Amino acid sequence: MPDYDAGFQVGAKQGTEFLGLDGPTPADLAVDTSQAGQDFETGASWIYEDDAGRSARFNVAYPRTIHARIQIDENDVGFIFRHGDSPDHTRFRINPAGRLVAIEDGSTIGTLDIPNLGAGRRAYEVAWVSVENPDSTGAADEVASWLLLHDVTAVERARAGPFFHSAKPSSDLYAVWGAGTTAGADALTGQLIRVGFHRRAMTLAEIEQDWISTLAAPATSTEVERQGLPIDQASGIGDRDELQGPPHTWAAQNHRALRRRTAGGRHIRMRPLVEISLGYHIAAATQAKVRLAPESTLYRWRIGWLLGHPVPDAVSHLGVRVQVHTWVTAGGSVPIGIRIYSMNRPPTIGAILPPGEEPEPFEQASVGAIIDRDDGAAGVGEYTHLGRLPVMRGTGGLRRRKTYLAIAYAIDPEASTANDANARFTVGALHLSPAFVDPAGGGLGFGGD
Amino acid sequence: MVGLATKVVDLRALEGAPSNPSVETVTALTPVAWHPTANVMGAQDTLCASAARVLATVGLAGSDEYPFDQSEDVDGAAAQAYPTADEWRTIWGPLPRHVTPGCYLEAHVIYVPSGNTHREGEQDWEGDGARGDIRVRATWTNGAETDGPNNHAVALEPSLLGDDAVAGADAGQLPTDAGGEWTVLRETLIEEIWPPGVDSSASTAADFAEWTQVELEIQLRGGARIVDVFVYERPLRHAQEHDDVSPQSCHAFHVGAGEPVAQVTQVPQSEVVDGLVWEDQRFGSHQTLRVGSRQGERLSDPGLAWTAWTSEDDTFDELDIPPLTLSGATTPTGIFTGTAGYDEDAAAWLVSGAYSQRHDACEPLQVMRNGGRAVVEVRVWVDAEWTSGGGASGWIRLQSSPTEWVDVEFTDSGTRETLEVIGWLETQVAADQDHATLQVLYWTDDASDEIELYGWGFRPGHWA
Repeated sequence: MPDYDAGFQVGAKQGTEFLGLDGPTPADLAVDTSQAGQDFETGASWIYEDDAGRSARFNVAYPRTIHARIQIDENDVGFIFRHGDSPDHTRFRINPAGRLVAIEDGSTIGTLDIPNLGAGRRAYEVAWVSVENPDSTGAADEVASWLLLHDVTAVERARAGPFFHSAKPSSDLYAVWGAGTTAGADALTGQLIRVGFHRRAMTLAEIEQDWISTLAAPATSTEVERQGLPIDQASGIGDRDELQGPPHTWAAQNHRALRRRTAGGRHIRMRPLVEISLGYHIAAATQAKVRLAPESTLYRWRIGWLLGHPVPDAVSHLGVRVQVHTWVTAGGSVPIGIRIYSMNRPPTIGAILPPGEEPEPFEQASVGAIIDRDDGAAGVGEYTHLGRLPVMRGTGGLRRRKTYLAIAYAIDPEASTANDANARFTVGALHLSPAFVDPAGGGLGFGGD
Repeated sequence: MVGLATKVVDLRALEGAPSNPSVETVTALTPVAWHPTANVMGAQDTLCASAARVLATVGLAGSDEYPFDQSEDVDGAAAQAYPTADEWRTIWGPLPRHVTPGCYLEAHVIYVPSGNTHREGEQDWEGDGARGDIRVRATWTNGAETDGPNNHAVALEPSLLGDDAVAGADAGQLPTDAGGEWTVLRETLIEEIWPPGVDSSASTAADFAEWTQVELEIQLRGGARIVDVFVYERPLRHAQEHDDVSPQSCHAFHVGAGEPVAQVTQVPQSEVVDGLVWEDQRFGSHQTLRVGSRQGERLSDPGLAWTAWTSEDDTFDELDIPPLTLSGATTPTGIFTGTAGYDEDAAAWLVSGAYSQRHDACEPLQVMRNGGRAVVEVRVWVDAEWTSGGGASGWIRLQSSPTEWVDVEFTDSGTRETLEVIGWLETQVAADQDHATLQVLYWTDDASDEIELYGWGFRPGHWA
């Protein structure tokens, strides 16, 4: 179990062993802002820890992240990080021609060519991330690693891996950021702005969220439940390995957090993208495939847009997203109405239940939007989020716990233009995600009751 | 342990059971309602029983055409015009999927009545009647245990609508009047897609109980006209050998199956547990935590799997999926659009792992600051054949944001293979978030290289 104590700074997280900020000044970079609070010594352009006892905290094979923000040009080379004695050392460095190199246990395990290097220095976030290789066949491929990069100027990302390699041997000699030895051999000729060592595998998304641009949590009307704090059977208060009390509470809370894990959505990329126009529903080749949606005189279903989907009892809604490309052959844009229906059964096949079993009363719900855009015939269109679709589910026979879904369309449903004949559109994709509305907002209560 | 060689829980009995009791999110100064351990364990068993994840889908997918479609019988044709009635054609897979413990599969088929078939006569091709079938082929693998491929087929109703003026006509037509196809919609189930014996033999059930991999393939025969097919999980039962100490996703804890909860409630919370003896594995707090950990590690949404077949396919002589042929790009390029790079607006798929977020990647306070983004570990499969035209490799990329993607590299020229890679993909933070469009891109070392893409899939979790 990693430590889950709170850190002190942005980026000083659970399991952070060192976090140096405010480079390239070594005196600033050497201040450990992580929970470890173990400052480094300062060299001319590098920082180091020449103490086998303290640097033992970097004896981490996986999960592990070695992260730095660097400023370099096309000629810069040298060490970003080094830990341990030769030949067992961990080395993270830049080789000539702007190549990021990861070396573990004395062997090069992977490289990544740094993009966009030129005569002037540019800023990059770089990271070496390692996890246990789940497919390991022995010591030689015990670890899986990736090299990650974010070019801050160009807002470009690069990634290499997974590389499979042996685990880091225990080796405590010293740890250095910005050079290959405590005396400064192979010092990085560029600049170190920020360095971090973590006992957890980070993703590039996480690094960007910390250091590049922090996105706010999305507005949602759904409940979001993540896995609880991981715990195992050896947990108890302190180290007493007691199995009642808090671990039992954890098990109950964990169960609550996981109860929606087995719900799945439906995500379809249409193929081909059938072009719909005003005459589609009356054309001889396609009229048999189109019908009016129940209780509508405007919206039409296509048989190619009819789906079925199983829904567990606890699923109350589906979050709906639809991709539409709309354009006109002439004139101004024409609004396209798009709806998604959820039904307990297709309205036309209620009567095929076994003898003696009454067809269920037909129930439907829909969400929709009117899309008024002109993406141009050569455009790709875009996604429209239609909100939360209440699930209408069948209750008997093969339709039990299933919902039937259909996309409906209407060209210019509010008769707002005279250009309907020139309207064209395709529906490119339909995405349905199980959504659980907060009970306070009308969703199902706990456990689906 | 006499008479208790295998512990079995009937998940069908738990399907739809309320997942109480549990506790609400524990916050400071909030009292916790305590339930007996047995109730928590019983509740944990309901998680697997609630799975209804869709593992494979295929159908019209927006198309106006049914495969090998025809509406009129033809006798005496010099060339084959319709599919034969006895050859199975693959329309999905084979791709590996993992099945929630204790669950097996069912397939739901929405279709319209089948069209005509052809057989080769002595001199020419003759009408062989309107008929169509669909089947799911499943090969189950779990460690050393393998079973399959097992075929699970169902006949689809033929169309009786036809032109009697044609000699030997066997119908096979569809209505052509407005809305006509909606009036002939049919649906059926393929049930009991499971390794033979899991329903009757406890030891067989134990072999395939925990995260079995199933290689799925869907095939059509004759003039089948499918609208939508989805293969999904149904709970059956979970079993484990008594001496099996490997992590399990269910307790085999009987609730309401002839054993009153009061009688099986073990270990009052003030008592010291007995350790890892079999009784304690079954009912004790060790097992409660082990099961919770296992569920937290692995339970997830199913991810996605896709194959290149389209309903407009009319190739009779090829029984396999016609692959998507990709060439000409030496930088990442959309497989459908041919446009360079990732485009979150283009028609594609979605990573909807809002409920699969794991603590160590998505915890919103410290790990993924502000909870503004979320990632899921994934294991990716790509089924493709790369052929060198001078280059050293071809690539397929699954990408769900400008930041997160997984690359699969093919280097064995001329060999169709299914390769497997681990990585991370960005996902929706919440189910109604407009984010995490999943694009599939390709490129090759040399513009003359070619990739034939048959399919791809992914599921959350790095685990093997």
